Amino acid sequence: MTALDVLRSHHADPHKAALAWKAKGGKVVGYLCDNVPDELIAAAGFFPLRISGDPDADGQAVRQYVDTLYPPDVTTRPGFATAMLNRLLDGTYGYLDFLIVPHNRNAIQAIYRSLRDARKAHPELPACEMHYLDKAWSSSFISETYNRDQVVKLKAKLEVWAGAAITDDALHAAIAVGNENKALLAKIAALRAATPPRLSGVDALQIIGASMLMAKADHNALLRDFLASADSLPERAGPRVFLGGSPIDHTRICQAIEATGATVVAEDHCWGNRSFDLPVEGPASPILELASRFHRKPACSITFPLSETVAGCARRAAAAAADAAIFYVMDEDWSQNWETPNEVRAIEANGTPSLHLKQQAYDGGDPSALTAVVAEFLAAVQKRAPRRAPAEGATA
Amino acid sequence: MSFSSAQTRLPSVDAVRTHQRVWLDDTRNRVLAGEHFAICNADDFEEVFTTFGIPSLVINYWNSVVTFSERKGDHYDAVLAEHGYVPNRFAHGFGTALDPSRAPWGGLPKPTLIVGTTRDEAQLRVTELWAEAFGCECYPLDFSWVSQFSHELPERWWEFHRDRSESMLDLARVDLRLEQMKGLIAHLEAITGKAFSLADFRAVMERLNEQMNYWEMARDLVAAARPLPVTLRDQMALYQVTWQRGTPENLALVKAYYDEVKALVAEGAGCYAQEEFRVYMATSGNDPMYHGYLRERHGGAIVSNRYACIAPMYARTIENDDPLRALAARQLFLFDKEPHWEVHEAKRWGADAIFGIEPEGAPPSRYSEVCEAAGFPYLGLPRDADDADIRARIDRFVDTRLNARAPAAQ
Ligand code: SF4
Ligand code: SF4
Repeated sequence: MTALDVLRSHHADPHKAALAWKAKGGKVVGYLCDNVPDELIAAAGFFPLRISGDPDADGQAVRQYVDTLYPPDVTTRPGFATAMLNRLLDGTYGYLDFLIVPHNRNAIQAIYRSLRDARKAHPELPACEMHYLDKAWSSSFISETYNRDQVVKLKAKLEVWAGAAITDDALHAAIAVGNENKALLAKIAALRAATPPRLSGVDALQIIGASMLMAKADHNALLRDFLASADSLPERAGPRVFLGGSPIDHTRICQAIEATGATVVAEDHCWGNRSFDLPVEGPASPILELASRFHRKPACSITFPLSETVAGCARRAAAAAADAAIFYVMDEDWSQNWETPNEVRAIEANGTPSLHLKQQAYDGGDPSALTAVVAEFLAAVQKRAPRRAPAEGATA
Repeated sequence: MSFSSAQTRLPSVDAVRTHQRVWLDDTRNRVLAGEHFAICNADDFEEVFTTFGIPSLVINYWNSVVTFSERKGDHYDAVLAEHGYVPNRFAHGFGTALDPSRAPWGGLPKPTLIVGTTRDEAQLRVTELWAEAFGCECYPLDFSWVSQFSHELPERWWEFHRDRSESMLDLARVDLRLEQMKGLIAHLEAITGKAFSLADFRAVMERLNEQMNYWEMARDLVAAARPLPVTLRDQMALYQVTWQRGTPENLALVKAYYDEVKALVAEGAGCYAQEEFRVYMATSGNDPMYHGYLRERHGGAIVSNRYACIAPMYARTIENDDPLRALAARQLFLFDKEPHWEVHEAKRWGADAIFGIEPEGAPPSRYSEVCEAAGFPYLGLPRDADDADIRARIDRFVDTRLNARAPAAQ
């Protein structure tokens, strides 16, 4: 098995590394979303595992155990949130020792209350101790100090769970491994954004996703291995596409786009480039470094002001020299609904044509239908403006 | 006992509507003359603006004017769609800034700032976009509709509002909110050149409490009277006074309503021709479309709903001479859509049944279980519509659950 095969296998089976860790007597802390400081979890001696959803699940557990608890206007959520909540209810994550739910978008933070209430109403449901990681969204210093306190509280809770203090040494080490991971992932991003690209978006998403499903040190080793022979990767032809819109924890959308012969050279969501392109910075105390990323530079798009989210999106598209942008916005993803038109305008102002797909299904729906829509759009783009001249050394 | 036509509006409720219109005209003129104006969410920062003498418009109120009073929802859905958005009702106000030509009452003047709401992330974005459209500042305050429930509510939480509100809250969040409010007050002082007076603010908060006392007294009279003296529609229309809290004008409006209710009860006036049975609506909607059918076909009267019952929850006792903290705490928790509370209200209103909204084909909900366990037959309808399917469901429910009951002991 090549390093890439191993990385793909972890993405395909998100429980694999965590279960192996458990088998050796370790404990697993699940967390939702990107902005939970996983370095703290690792420094406490736990296995940090980002929760993901299953695009094949039908959401039955959510309908049965959660949606019955509240009036229907309280329970609307985008499909990716339903998919994660479903797995937390249906026993898939029954092996978790602890769970951290951050205050991100409403549909995510609601999972804390939903799980608590569902377990109370249905004691037979799998249960583990939970921690609610609060966060102030506004960007002022007042919020920054509040958010620092929340990171300190999380540290204290992890220490209780571990029965031991988290030492500064352990924290420095975890941050160093995490920063190395981000630096290596930046090289992965550069490979796919190269002219011509040497990595498909589908592979990139699997590689990036695996970083949140494995021990970071193991992931780093695989990345180094993979990058060592990256020069021999075949060059990819076809249009360069930037993918914006809702967070997506599976590869089907990317797959449907790349089935047209295009390459997704970058994306703007928290399961992709956004999860590593703003590394933790020093010099400061490790806690303040983590708190500062939590407050100022989360991969989460729920930040203020909107202009910063939009600028980040446009910057990523420009850095990847995309020929075209596709925004895939899920049904009920209301925050993305209000963000995307400004992002489309910003990207088009830079000369990049875009396709805004609204109210889409989490699982991607019929892949051939999506491929057809994308192919039609890309054909129109190519007709409008011939692609930039192939860079030197491109395939003849 | 006398019955008025169900279509007549109470003069005191009409006065509320008139007041709102006059207020908006007056506000527009003041802004044209160079005064400040602000937009904020329903339970956000209004009392502070009132203290500053800055007129402020509540987003939900303006949306309901656009959508319900003026029926321009379809137009503004189209405007939002044209701009690339999937439209929703919360954004209708923002829509009026994108197309002021069709805005109700001549549209809104440009505000000095919009208080950005983090009630949920989508609302935050809408307030930001709205500010962008106006070319004004968006100043967000942190509060999330969902995070309040990270702190478990005590049982019978609806009894805690006035005097024990902090025991329902995460105190770190109250401190955060208080800090942020002070930050915005200082910002407003700098922008307007006015000083914020804590004493004036306390007077606003006390007046608000008095306003809610009258509301509560009126509500208790309406709920206890047989027959029902005030339509659900009028109860809901009165809710507009909660969009301006703690002003002498709104206190006077509620007091006038209370006086009118007292007189109606004294003369035994009823607003519906029949009241064979009483229904409480566990919903956030308006008077439902099928209410006419329910009355005419079955003689059933919908006597109240959730929103007609939450207004008094705005009142807060001021402790330790700290009205700002009282407000901060209130902003973090007003109410929960929770069946035990709705049962409590249904009892207050002497309801014989509770209606709610249930998605088609869903398993039995906690709402239905709690209501039924408390002895209230519960009907979950999939939507607020007056069509053959809804009528059939109502017929079936009334026949099997209400008419089949043993006659109540006299
Ligand atoms: S100061 Fe920060 S970046 Fe430097 S080693 Fe310590 S934790 Fe890592
Ligand atoms: S954008 Fe990503 S990190 Fe933020 S709430 Fe959504 S899923 Fe979570």
